[in-house]
Amino acid sequence: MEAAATFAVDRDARGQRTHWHDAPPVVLRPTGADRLHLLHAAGGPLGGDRLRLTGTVGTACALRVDSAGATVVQPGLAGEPADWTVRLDVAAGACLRWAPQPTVVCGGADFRTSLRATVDPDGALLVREVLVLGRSGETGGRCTGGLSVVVGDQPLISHENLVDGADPELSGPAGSGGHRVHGTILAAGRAARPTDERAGRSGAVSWAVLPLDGPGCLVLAVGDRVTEVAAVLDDLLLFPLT
Amino acid sequence: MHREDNSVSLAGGHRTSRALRIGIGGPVGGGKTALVAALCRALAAELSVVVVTNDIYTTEDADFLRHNGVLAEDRIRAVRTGCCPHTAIRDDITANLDEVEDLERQHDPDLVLVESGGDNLTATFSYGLIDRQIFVVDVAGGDKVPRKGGPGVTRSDLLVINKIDLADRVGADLDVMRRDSAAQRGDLPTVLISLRAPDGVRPVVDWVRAGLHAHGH
Repeated sequence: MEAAATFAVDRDARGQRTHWHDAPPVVLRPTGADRLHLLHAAGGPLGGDRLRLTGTVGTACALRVDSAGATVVQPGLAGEPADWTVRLDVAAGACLRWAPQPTVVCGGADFRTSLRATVDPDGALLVREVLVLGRSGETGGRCTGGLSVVVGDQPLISHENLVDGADPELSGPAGSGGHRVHGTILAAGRAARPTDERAGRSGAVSWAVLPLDGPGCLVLAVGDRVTEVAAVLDDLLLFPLT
Repeated sequence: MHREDNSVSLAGGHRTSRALRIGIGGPVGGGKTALVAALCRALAAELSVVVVTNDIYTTEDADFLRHNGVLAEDRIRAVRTGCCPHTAIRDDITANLDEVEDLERQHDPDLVLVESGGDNLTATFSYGLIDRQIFVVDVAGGDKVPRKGGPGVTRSDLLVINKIDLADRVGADLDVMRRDSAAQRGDLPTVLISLRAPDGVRPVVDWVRAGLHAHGH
């Protein structure tokens, strides 16, 4: 399937408004004045799908984007990749918290994601994502995750992460180290500069906070259980990232 | 391709209601509908309550609630999922959101109860649909159920173990169920009740009241 959905949040004297275009299977639903849920109206994505979402958070608006349930990426019939492209724009004084439920890449699936955001220096973006290689008992498929953020007119990060549960090198010591759950936080814009670089282990989860050359930081955490990695990400968010 | 223009504002938005939305899930036959009926009987005199039920092919649970007269008919809606119930409470929650939002516009309730169709131990609600969830299992399903875990048992906001009056008859050990629930759930609460007993629903009513209070009621 091919689909392109959009949302935009703006504000006037009456308050904040959310506008959106659904494009099944990418279905959006406001679930609060400052909250939007992505829904899985047709399961997937499946190999061969090309899905796109473009979102704008206007001046002085706040929005949290979540998803109703986990995203489960499955292979298609022809072995093609599934594409998920997200374009976000965060204006001055605005805040976007992008935190969907985990994405599970099933065995044999090839998932290509691209999240590109532009953030006003006085805006704030928080991206929190959890990738899971395989359902229970599976080694999992391949995921190529692109992450690119520009703050003002300065590039903050341009990053591509390739993992593949079936590739012994990519899942070996020089890759994901055999861990099937990969958590990422990207903070960008206003109040998003960590004081220093930190890394550590919390139980079975290894994590690192990486300052970026600009107003932002990247947090990576790997482990074997979604709940454990999610808990570490939540704990790290409690640290002052500024 | 279906395409819609939509807009919602803070003033006329989808979630201006201050209702507390509680999801009630659990396996077939555990007592979900009986719990909804009991909560309505206990709370409807003092609170504005609405209910959305989910069944696969029928409107059986909504019909049961209507026939039992626990609420006015227009406060009860039925969603027919047409497929495994969890899909309508966790994945594509639009059918349920439509009914919940419609009832909220119509009745401005304090409390919305969303009853899942009977499913299995993995079926939980999306927090895009509800604020809190109760998972209902029963003693007659076997005292090993809490030990088996699954997200309903381990992470629901309240675990209800129903039909404790049947424990002796089915050879279930309530202490085992209590112990296993505590081990699975950490600090999350569990109550063991019999909805057949006079005022047997009381521990759940107390939990709902605390939830309403925390929700600003």
